[in-house]
Amino acid sequence: MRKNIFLLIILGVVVMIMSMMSKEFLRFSTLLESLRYAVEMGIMAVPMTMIIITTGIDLSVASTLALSGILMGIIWKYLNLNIWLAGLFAILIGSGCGLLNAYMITGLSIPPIVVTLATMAAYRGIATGLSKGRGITGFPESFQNFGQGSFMNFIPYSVFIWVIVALVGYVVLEKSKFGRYIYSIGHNETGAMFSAVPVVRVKNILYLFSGMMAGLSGMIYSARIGAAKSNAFMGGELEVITAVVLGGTSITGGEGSILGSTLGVLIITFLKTGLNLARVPHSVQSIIVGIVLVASIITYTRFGVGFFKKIKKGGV
Amino acid sequence: MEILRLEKITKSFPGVIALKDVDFSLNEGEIHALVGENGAGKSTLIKVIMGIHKPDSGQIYLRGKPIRINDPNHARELGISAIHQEIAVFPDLTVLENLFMGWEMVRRGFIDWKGMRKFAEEKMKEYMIELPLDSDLGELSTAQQELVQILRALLQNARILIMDEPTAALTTEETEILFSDMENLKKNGVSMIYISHRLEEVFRISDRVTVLRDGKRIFTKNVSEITPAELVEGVIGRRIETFYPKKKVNVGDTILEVENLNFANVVRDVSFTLREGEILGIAGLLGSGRSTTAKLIFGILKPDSGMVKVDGKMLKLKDPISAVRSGIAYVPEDRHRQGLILPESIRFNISLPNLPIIPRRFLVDLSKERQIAEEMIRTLDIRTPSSEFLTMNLSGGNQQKVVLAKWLFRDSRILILDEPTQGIDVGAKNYMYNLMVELAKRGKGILFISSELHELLGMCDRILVMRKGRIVGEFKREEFDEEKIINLASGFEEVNSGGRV
Amino acid sequence: MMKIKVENFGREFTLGIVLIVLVSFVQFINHSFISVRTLNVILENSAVILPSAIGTTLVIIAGQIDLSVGSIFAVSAITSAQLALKGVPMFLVILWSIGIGAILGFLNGIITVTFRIPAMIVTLASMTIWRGFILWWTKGYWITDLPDGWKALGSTRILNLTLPIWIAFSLGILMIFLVRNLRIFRYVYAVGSNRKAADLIGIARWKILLFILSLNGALAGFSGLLSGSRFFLIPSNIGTGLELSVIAAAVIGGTNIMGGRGRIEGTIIGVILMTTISSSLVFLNIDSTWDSAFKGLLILLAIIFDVLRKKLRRGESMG
Repeated sequence: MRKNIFLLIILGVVVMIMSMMSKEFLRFSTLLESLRYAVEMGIMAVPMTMIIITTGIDLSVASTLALSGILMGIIWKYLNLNIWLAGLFAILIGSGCGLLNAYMITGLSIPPIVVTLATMAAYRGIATGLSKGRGITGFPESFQNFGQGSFMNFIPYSVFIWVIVALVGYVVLEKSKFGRYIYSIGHNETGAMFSAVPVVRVKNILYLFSGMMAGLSGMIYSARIGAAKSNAFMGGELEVITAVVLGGTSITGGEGSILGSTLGVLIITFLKTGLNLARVPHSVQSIIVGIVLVASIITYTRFGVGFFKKIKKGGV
Repeated sequence: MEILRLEKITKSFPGVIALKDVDFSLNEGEIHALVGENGAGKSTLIKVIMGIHKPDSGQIYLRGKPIRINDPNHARELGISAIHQEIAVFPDLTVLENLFMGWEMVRRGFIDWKGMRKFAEEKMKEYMIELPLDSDLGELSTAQQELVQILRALLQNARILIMDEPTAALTTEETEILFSDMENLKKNGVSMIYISHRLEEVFRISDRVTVLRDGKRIFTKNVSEITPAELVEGVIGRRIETFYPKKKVNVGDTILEVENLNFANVVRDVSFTLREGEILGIAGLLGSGRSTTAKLIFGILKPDSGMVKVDGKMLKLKDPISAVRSGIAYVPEDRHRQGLILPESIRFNISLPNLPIIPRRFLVDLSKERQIAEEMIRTLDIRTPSSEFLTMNLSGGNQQKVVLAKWLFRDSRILILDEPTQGIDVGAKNYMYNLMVELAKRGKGILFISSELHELLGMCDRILVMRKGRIVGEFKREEFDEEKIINLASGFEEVNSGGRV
Repeated sequence: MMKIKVENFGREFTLGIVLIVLVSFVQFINHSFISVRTLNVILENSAVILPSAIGTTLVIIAGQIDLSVGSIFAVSAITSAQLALKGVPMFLVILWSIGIGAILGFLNGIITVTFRIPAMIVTLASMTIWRGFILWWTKGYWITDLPDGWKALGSTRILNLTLPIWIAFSLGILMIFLVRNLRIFRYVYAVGSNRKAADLIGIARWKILLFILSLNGALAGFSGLLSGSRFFLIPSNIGTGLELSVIAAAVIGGTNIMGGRGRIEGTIIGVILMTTISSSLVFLNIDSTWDSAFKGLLILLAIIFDVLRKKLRRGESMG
């Protein structure tokens, strides 16, 4: 909880600095519009938070996003399927990718970082191969409107999906029995097993969920860009992980929250939007994001161990 | 010739005197066995010799000269090396690399493989040890891996080897190989301190034996001059009787049947039954397969063959979930790693295995959960400010109560208690015994695994004795015989029938 | 020297056979495959990533992962090229490429060991930072009009093979020797094989990690120079995705991703196998866009193969 207050303060500081750098920034519509670009990151951060809490990681999310998008486009274009049905396929394909990860992680007991590093290359590679490096464009108006339009010209449609996913994620992680299992695995997997926690099932579900959300994000991304591209969200897995870690999820497991991760996503997004408006080049933006990641990890590991833990104990 | 002598060593820790005026001596080319029950002071004595603990008083002499041993490195320089129980040092590297890791020979800046190989081969010839120098350590048998450690110590000019339960993980054949290697070392003047619970091995391999009990030396004798019975008596001694609140309970129907359970070489053809209201003890040494049997029943490990029935119904030995559903509970030996999620609260821990039966389908009912935790805290008298207190901040006894609470709330009918009184104070122990009686009265079947034979004798209706993965004996309460059980557990039966001694 | 046993070279042997089968197959489909030109292309493509692949192999053996090699590679290639443009003598440029790599690697190492954060997370960040830096530094423009001295490094031929090939493979052979015969490299294996035992024996783990991450940076920097020297112009996105290629080469070459196990020999063959696959695609008339899909699948297969082999072996020793 205290971590989240800390994050809110950082968020406030970011918003303040950004509004000083650019007058447009503080307009409510600008902030809402910038959320459109955070939706994929925000959605994928939800399962990523849960996975990192169990001491796992999923590096393949951005590639899964690209592959689902490309396959959606292909199904729509060459099989003449309704675009929304094709979108459903994207989610299914994403889930399939996640399931394959899950099988190798729990079934063959290969460490998640290794499995998802390999599938990160493979999924992206297949997407590139299938699309021959060219994007698929010309999606129907209604579909593009879903990614580009806004409710009452105000709130981007896709943001609603993000909110739903984040809320569901919050309830699952922090209020449900399943969430308890996630935390217990993260703190002590052996202990969880001796307490009859279905460890394997929980992990399978998490990686499946991660793939599913990447598939969903692939559909949203394609709608937003108006094209399915094999290089979609390139390097995005790093941004997602950065947001989650910035949001206070411990890389050694056991700690983390959806609210924290969502705040992490918002901080990065507002930071980038502000820098964009202030005409700071993309290159410098990624430098700043990288520094934020290092700084947050150092804060949490170095000072976090003493500082935040103490607060936590006193708080109880 | 005497190489090492300890005089009147006393060492105390807050609240306990671990060693009191202990004398010990070791001759050149001697194998001197050190025996005693858990907590008798063996490992403290070893740690004093290795320089890990400084004695409060007393003197150590090496080759007749008084000496202070500062730390394990200093001990190694003096020629004293301990062979650790946890073997497999660098499984990915070759034997030769393992032998010299950290103190490689170097010529002109490069590692002198030839020189190292030559040196190792010479030593192997000298001590008649055979090891494949180019194989990966991980591919060697456990016995060979121990031998690598021994050779490493010899290469570093060790003259005194301390071997702590070296045979615990070995098969009978491997033990024989190790023993013949030890004989060779002995011939070359290497002295060994040999610690083992297996008393028959003491007679088989050692020259002298020192018995420790409650931090005191009971006697040191030549092995040829004592009988197994004398040794056993020395180890057990006559002790102050603890009061065990055992009460006669009417034993009901069979609830648990274990049939022909097998797992690797660790558990072999184990079969037994447990009835309602019965406390069934399992006695056996470290590595006898007691805990593994428990883990097989609970579904943590998958057996190679065999089955477990609860109320006559076959249990799917897949994972702990189905075991818990059929009413089996397991209080594991390692509270910190297996029993609890330490960084979480008492409430979290108590409800974790019970989430499926706590009301509400998907969400956790926090108030209900807290109510349950508080109820268990009251029933078991767990000393804590609140149910939100983190379990890592509780004392050992209270932690154990939390582990029990997890399963008592569930009203499990079969309780497997694995060393439930280890590392908790007398008051908590008594509480635990009383609770066991109370639970038995309520018709629960209890499987009680313990290294402390007295506990088993005091509390059980029946005791099974395990050795090397098999059940080698069964005693009803009226037939309880401490000496017989120890003999069985430590393998004396074989010695007696073999006619040795 | 350690005695060399045939069974210890199982992985290299298998890979060699895979390589021969692959080459024969491609030659069968397209008769123009085997030629001096193809050989040069394959060896040259291998040579430029080989130093970095060797560094990565050692990092993985030490139980860590470095994702920042692609960015270090780019920083080195571009800054070196700019120095060459300014007329700095070539040998100083070479020293610079290695030095800047070592410094960036050292930075990774310092953060990793002082804050005890897994190197993968640290390099995840530094990868982004240095990539961003180089894009900002070049403003996205390519470096062009490089001097003759620069090109000489990449295009001088000895016995029909270009200089980078000679340099990289000599370096490979030198590293095989050093890794076997220098104590510090044995400690790299020890740290990766059993952390606790390494501590017990008194190996300063932090020193080893710092050393190996710095060395990895230096090798990545050198790879950047070799790669850049082949062309008259250098794009600012040079080296993107390199981390994946070198990790793939190491893993395919038999390096255990969990640490403790691996050989430079295997990595060399792994690199050659990977570049051969890439080059084969053209001759097999497969679109080059499938390249990274094949690489990814190859890593997956290599890992699954390792896992299954380990399981089989364990099964045998049980029975």
